[in-house]
Amino acid sequence: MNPADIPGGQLVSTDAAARMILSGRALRIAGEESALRKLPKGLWIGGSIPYFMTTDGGLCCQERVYVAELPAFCGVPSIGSYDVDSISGIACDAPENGFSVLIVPAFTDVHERFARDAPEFEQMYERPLVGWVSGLHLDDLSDHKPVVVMGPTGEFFDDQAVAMHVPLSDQYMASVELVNLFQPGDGPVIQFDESGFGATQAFVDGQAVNLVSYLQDNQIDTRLPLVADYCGAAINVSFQTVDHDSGNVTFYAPVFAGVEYRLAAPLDSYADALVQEAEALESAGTAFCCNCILNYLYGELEGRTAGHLNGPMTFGEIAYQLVNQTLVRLRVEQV
Amino acid sequence: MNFDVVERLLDVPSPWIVHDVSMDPARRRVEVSIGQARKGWFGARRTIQRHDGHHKVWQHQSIGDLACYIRVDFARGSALPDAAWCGDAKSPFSRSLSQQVVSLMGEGVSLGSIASLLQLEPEVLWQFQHALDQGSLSKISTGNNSATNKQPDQAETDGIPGPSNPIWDRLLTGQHSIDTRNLAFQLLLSRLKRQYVKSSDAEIRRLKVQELRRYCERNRNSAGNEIGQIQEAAQ
Repeated sequence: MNPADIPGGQLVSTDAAARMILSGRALRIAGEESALRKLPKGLWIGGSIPYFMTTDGGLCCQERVYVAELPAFCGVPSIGSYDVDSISGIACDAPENGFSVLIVPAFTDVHERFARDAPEFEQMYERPLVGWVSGLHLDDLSDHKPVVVMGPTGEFFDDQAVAMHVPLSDQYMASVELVNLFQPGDGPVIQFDESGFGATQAFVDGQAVNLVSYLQDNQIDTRLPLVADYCGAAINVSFQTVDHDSGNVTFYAPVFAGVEYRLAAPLDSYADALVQEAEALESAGTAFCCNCILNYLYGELEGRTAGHLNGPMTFGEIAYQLVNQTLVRLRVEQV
Repeated sequence: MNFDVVERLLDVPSPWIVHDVSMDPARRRVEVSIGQARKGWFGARRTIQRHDGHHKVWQHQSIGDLACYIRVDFARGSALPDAAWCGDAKSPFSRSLSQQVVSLMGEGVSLGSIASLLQLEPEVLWQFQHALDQGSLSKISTGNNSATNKQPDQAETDGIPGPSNPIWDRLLTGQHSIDTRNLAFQLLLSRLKRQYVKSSDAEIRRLKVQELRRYCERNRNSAGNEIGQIQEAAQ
């Protein structure tokens, strides 16, 4: 099979998804927990999320599930679960040649540990790792928990991650790509003295400031992320909340001490930039794709088509480490 | 107990002395206590200055199948001796054990194997690696046994420059840059650069070089472009 012919994922009924599982195919499935609970055991992993980008446009759907099949040229995958301790070995479990797909439930200890420590995990960056953070309908945040599913056992976890490790023969090679709308702006350098999902103080061009006051005084649009330059790769950290009462700012991914951030350069139109970027992408060879719920919301993607790349719109994207407001895809090509 | 022999085995210099050795067979551990001899106490050779109980404990190399811990009593704020049995204030391990762990890491031995080989708690080993990566350990080498005193290793591996080739230092200090769109390489190099410039310890810097080299060795296909540029710059 030519990697250019990898079938894209599709939004299907739970009956259709069940038939695909029972046919023995290796699948990754995204959908509302209630829909995932209708699926039989089999060779699949899943996570909860009701937001998707499809060929018909962005949509929120709680009845159907998004199913992506492993390309036929992949070897038989192994599937495992990871808790807050064992997640540090995720990269060591990857095949010598191949890739891994990880799904982590949002707002959990394993989510926090992965977000904070993944760059230091053993053998991280040596084998392609992609994935996403499972979430919820935004109306359900206060009374439900995101889950992930281990298909072979039918177990649902709200405190562990699941991963599918996929071997490839030597003819093929997988690589991870980011599609990021944002570039660092020309504003001051922002740094933090501690790594974490929240901060009260930051250093702006070396001067200590109260971050909430700084954002307010400078009328910063917090729909735009902080962007860091990692040797040419722009990595975003998105703002989650700016709490004037507590004086605390929280983020959807951790900021790291010692990393230089800048606020993203503003876009003329978030929605147009997103569609333009997505439509310019070739879908050939894409074996995995996910995008960010914030791109869905801020880019007003509901009901709007954007390119050929489909997948879940998630609470965090994984490209080796956790990233925000970014489209992540894994490409497979012949060596 | 013949404390003089233990002092000689551990190479404990005056005014430091070994004043106690206790064994806990149930926990399979031995603890060697070291302090500074108390002056003017004739006939009480093993009396030490207590410093209000201020002390630090480091895990040292095992003795047989007994885990060995070194307790050192010292004055708050005072400098610790540059000795193999001592450690960095933030390290769980003595310098000697730290160097052994770092050396095995540099060889690419997995953390699980290191823990098993040296009888270390996996969680403690992870914390040590985390501290190394965060640059919070200021010094793990002793003056007599740093990487700079070792024989230089110029060996290339299938065209990848040897660990002591200056290209690695130039890459990790930002004096030389690579044109790359390989996300894994970008993220790894970015992390290693931060850690490399943060540490002045030769052993830790050597470990970072080995990590980058190992990535190149294991990813010849996907990092072919980057390896080519490194080879060219190393000429």
